[in-house]
Amino acid sequence: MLTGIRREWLIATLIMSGVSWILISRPPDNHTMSVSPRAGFIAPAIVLPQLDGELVSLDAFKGQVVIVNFWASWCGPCRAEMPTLERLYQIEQTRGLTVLAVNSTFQDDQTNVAQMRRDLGLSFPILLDYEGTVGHRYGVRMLPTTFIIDRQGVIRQVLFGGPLSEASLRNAVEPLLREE
Amino acid sequence: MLPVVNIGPFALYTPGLIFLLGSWLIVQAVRRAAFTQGLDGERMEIIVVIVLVSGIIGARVGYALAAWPAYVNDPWAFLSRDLQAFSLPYGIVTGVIVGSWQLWRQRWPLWVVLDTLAPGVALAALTYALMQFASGDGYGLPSTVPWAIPLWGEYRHPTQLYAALTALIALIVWRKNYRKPQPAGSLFLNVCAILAAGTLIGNGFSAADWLLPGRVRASQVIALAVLILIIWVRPKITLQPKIQ
Repeated sequence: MLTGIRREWLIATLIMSGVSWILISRPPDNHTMSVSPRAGFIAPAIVLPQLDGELVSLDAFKGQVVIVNFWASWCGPCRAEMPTLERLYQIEQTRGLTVLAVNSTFQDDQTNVAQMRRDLGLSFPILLDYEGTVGHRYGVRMLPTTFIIDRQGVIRQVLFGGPLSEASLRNAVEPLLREE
Repeated sequence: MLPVVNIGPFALYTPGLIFLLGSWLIVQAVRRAAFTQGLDGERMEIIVVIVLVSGIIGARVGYALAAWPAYVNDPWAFLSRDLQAFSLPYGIVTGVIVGSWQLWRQRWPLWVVLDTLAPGVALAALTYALMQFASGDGYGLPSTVPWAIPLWGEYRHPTQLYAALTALIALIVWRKNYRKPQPAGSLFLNVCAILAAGTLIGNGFSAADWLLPGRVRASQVIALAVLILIIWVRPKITLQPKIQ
């Protein structure tokens, strides 16, 4: 059992060594942001064709808040959240919101993609990932997976699974839309 | 890092699976510890389940409160299957409040109850560390140490594994001592001290921590405060009787 004096010494030693370690181990200030598919990192590049063959690049949307949604036409939750994405896109487009729906075309049928677009009246760009390279680059292992990217091109949130509610999508994009 | 496990056509969210498994282990461990401490294990099991469920509800309510304008327009979203719409801090606070109230109603001695909860605390820390390892959250600073792991484009300190190791040590120490005669509260304070020491040291390599002014990590400051509090409190528990 520690006596009172020994305990006081122990506490004093603990405070000195603890504070020293906290100060020594402070994270460096010169943190450079790298490219990686997770929150706090720069979003990996996306350059993919749309249904009409026109190429779309994520870089073209710098300055806007971008929702990148990975999906497939056979995926129930993906289909279920599409109307929510469309509604949000329609309402917030003027404030600088864009939706890029990246279809996992390597495991889907382009005809079904076009049919789904017509059926649901989707107006945002639908990109076709024929080889799955962009999905791989983003580490997508389940559909849907949604990345929320800010105006500087930094991923702020990754949302696994779905269907996402309008409330949680709004909650994710609203603060970013308010940022300059 | 393995955020999703694909089993046939199903994609399972790994941190969610770890949470379920960890919760089950916590319930079982606390139940057994309650019997060892002379408490009603069945009742303790019910209380822990109530705490877990209330924690989940609290996490959803907290998330909805923080994003209330969105939920006003879409109230049904509160009941959606959206796994993202949970707030961990609100969940923990709700669980602690509900748990404290439930335990207070039993009129059980405080330190004996805390000893009963000790394995649950260590298992909760282990569960959280493994959830973070699976999701890739709570990652470490870039490093060249031989045990660095490739994560997010760089080799990094496996801070989630440091936290898991700390929790495992806490569990082992608890397991070695839980039948020994000792002042009530010792088991709980030992587990908390090991977790706090591990956090103080291990989080020194964390790159994803909440920073205070001066780039000081909040988790390390809290861990140091907890350690000092434990050393200060420890002599006061020696006179507390333990249920036999």
